[in-house]
Amino acid sequence: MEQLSGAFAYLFTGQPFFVLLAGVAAGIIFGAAPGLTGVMAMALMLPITLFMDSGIALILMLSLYMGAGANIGARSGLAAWLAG
Amino acid sequence: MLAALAAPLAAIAGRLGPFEIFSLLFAALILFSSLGQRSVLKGLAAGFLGAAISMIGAGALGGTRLTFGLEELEAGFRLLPVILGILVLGPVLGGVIGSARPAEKTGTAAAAAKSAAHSGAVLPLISLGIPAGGAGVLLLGALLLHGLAPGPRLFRDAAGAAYGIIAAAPVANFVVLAVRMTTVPLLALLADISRGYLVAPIVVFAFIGAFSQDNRLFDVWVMAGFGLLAALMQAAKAPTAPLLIGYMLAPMAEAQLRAGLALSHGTPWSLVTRPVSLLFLSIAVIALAWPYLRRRR
Repeated sequence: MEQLSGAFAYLFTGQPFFVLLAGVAAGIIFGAAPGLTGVMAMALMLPITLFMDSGIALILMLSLYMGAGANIGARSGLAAWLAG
Repeated sequence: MLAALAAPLAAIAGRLGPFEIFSLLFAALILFSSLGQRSVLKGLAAGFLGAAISMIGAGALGGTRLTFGLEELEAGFRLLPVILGILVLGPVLGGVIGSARPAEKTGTAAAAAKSAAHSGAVLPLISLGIPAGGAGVLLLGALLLHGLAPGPRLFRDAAGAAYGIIAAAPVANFVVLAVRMTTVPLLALLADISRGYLVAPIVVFAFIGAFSQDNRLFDVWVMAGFGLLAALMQAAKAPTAPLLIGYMLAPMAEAQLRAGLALSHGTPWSLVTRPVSLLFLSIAVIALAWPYLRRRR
């Protein structure tokens, strides 16, 4: 639990939060555009994450994933997260 | 819930021996290849094809295999070009081949289930190292490319990254909710853009990405080859996700099996005499037999 609250605190510092916002935005765009998918967005960003710190890279991947998936219902996704 | 479950699940997984983990990975490969596919046989074929392709290059105990004398293949196919080929180039080429096919429609029930699976995919990945679906595979890919072993060891070796993922999931979900609520009209505009304008730059980025890891042109050919393979599979109505899952899980499973066999002096019977291992293998067998049992009734 201590580590988890530490992770939340880290997330709300400058760079990680910016990466999260950018990832979500890109994910939403890829999810909404015709012919593109969230998985494609993640695959295309994968080479770029090689040049990042692993923590930042994973936050980016996860936010792309969440952003793209959100187009099928962010509200139910949130409910699903709260439920388990 | 996700946060509360991940660490204990990883702790349980940490107690499993190599035979158990092999059986777990094997069962996972069978389940992901067969469940939810229109054709169980095509799903399994794709999964095992991926596993077979992963055997190329350096083996778990040293020595190289199946390189056909090609120097470039001594480390096997790189993960990055394989992923880009199957997940980016494949759908693009497949879209060209089958451009007349109507887009899949998802109902609200399916959407809710998909969304639940979406959040749920993170848990088995970071605690057990098993990817669920295409996006899970990419999270696994990101872990592997950064030299992080997913599964129970992640919480010990890279606690920051493991808890970072757990913390980022709900925050990202809130951000998504906020952005979606404010930008719906803008997103509707996106849907009208012609496919070609979007797809062309994507292909260019995929080529740059495949080349950039090691600056080898060979990797670009690998990506093109896997893209073509994925497109052909799509045309044959075979799923491509199991191909990638097999490609990524097989080396992990092989390493576990080798470690187990080294401990048991080369006898494989522990696979079926150890109860937890037997349980996982039974799940795999039942998953395989299920469609046939159901049909007979």
